Amino acid sequence: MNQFEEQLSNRLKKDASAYKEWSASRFDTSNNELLWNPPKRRFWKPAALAASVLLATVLWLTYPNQEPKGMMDVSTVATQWQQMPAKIEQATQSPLQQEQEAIKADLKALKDQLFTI
Amino acid sequence: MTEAELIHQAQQGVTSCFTQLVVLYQPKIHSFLLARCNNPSDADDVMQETFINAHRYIKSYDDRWAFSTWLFTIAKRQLSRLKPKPHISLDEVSEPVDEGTELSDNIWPLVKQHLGETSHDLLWFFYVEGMSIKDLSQVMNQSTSWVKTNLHRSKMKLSHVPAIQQMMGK
Repeated sequence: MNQFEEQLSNRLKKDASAYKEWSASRFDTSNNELLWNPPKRRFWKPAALAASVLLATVLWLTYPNQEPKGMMDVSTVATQWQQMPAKIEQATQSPLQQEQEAIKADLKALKDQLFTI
Repeated sequence: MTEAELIHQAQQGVTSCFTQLVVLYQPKIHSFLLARCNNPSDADDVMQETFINAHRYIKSYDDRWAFSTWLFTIAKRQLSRLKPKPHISLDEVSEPVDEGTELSDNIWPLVKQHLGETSHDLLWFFYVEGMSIKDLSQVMNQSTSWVKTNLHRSKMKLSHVPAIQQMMGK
């Protein structure tokens, strides 16, 4: 194993030098700027982000406080929700019942007036 | 200027000092990446990302470790983020290589093929870069006992690969 390891070690080192030569032939080492300066494509992400922010700001300044159509504020929804039972009751009453209710209300009003007098 | 001074200056934001460090370490990183990547353009991309990240985070460099160890750690991390491209072997390279450079019959593609990328990296750092077990554990993000065991296993496995045996017998 020791002999194999020594042979292996030499062979691995020797063959690694082929990659070093390949690397040297592939790159002009004087052109360091190419190696670590951010490539152009890296600028696209920040540029896209900046453009999105700018567009959102322009839209916000152009149409301030404008809500999309069909939207209601919370208080309107809450009021309408509270009125719903009465509306349902009213809708389910027959026309006769409604008439009776109206007559009762009128009688009560008259009674109140009489007693007041 | 010594390497330590270059690093210190680079940490202070002196770009020219970082450039000198790039010149110093580029051949090591790039040759490793060429051996490791399936495609030379991948190696170029990973190297570029490695140096971009090194430049960005140089202030966090801890001088308890060798600078090359730190760079190889970044390179390894960038390699793991690489999306695979079609394989181009050393023999299919269209670019001219120096006369006398033996590119066919190279042991490293066989190492990667039979042992996998982890063992390939381990053997490269140990034999080619001469890293210590401690440095290897840092680069591989593993314990020292893991490094020792896997180094031994890798050598044992290699000794049983017929193509390697044939190559060593020459």
